[in-house]
Amino acid sequence: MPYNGRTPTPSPIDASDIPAGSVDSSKILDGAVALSDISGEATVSLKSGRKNRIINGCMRVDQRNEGAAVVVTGGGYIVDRMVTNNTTNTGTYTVQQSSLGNAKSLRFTATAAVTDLTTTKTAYGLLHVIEDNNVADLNGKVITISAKVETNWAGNLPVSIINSDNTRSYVVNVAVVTGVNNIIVTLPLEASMVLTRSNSPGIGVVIGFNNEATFRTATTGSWVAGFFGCSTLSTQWAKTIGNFINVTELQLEEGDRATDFEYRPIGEELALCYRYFYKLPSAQYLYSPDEGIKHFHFPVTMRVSPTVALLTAPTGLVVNRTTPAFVTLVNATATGNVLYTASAEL
Amino acid sequence: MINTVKLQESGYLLNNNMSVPKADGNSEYEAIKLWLAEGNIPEPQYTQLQIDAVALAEEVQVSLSYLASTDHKFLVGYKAKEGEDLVAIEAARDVAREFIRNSGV
Repeated sequence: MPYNGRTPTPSPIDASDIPAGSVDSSKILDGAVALSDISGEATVSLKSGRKNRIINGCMRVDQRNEGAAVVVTGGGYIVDRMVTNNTTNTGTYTVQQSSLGNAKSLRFTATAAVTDLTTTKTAYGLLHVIEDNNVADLNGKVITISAKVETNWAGNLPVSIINSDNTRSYVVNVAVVTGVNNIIVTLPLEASMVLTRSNSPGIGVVIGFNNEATFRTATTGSWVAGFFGCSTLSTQWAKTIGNFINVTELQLEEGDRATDFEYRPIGEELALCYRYFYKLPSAQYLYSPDEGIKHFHFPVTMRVSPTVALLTAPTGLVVNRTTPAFVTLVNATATGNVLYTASAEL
Repeated sequence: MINTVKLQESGYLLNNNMSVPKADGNSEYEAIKLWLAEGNIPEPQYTQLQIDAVALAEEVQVSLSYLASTDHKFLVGYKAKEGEDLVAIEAARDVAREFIRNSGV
């Protein structure tokens, strides 16, 4: 019988030799494809284990404010692990846990226009600082930061990465349009980006920074000496009342491409947050001053001995001692509810 | 932001509502160390007024306890025990009442 098929292509066969849909699993014998047959490039997006170094990038955990709006006139944490700072004295923005699609998000809205961004006056937008311990292995490697950011303005959204001691910065402008934008920034970390493998601050990620002087650089897309949160071409979005950025699914991962956002179970995400901040979920009643010394154990060992604030306390009750594992309260002279927060933030 | 720093048994009381341990790496403690390095001096844990107020409250509590523990001696039908001087006790109760009245507590 004569051969009527296609003239065989000299080896190697390339993609043009294989019509679309002609190879399915029934054509591949078990064991026919070994790991060594697949190039690194082909598997680069197939990550195993935990990949997202950002804690609460899903913006779901909000122990401090429980979804309530916060008017930012100074600095402080908003949803867990996310911090902001407004040093302008001329305007405010309101930050609140919100939603974007099916996800929780963090929305920053300019509610009184910031008019003075001279010298070191800044409106931060979102800052997330990762502990050394969680990023020290990334020194000298390529990382990718991704997020979904909704805006009601078009322009250049600055994304900035800061090293451990705020002496090196990498600023990128991402062009955004009105609506939901997929932000992807890939960059090489420097060899000594994270100074130590410790419980100290490691990499800082800043999104939506506003400043028109000291902390603004003309250089984008490469490391520069100093602390910079935006560039000369960045949009100072907080200067216009009503402007907002709405951020969710913030991820920082190893590699040169953004993969799907890693959703962790809420219990796991909450436990990760507890290392840095813990608020007693409900008040505990001190039935008698005679209970004397009262130990409260934290659900997770905290990063360092935390700062404890008594939100509700019977007369006389004071903090006697804190460790990363527990706080000791003493000297109550009356009965009553006890409610406290413990902060070991970076 | 640091507004006030007071000494506490195991650290500092920051802005009157945060107990800060002397633990390196704690953000508030690191800020207080810088604040101290600038020559600032923390306030004592309690002011003299607070110390006096606590002492007064304790003395008032002693007087109240004395009155409570002797009330029954002046009920109808109470028989003084041998050697018990009810006149002297009543005089002491008057002093206690006067002290409580004047204390303002």
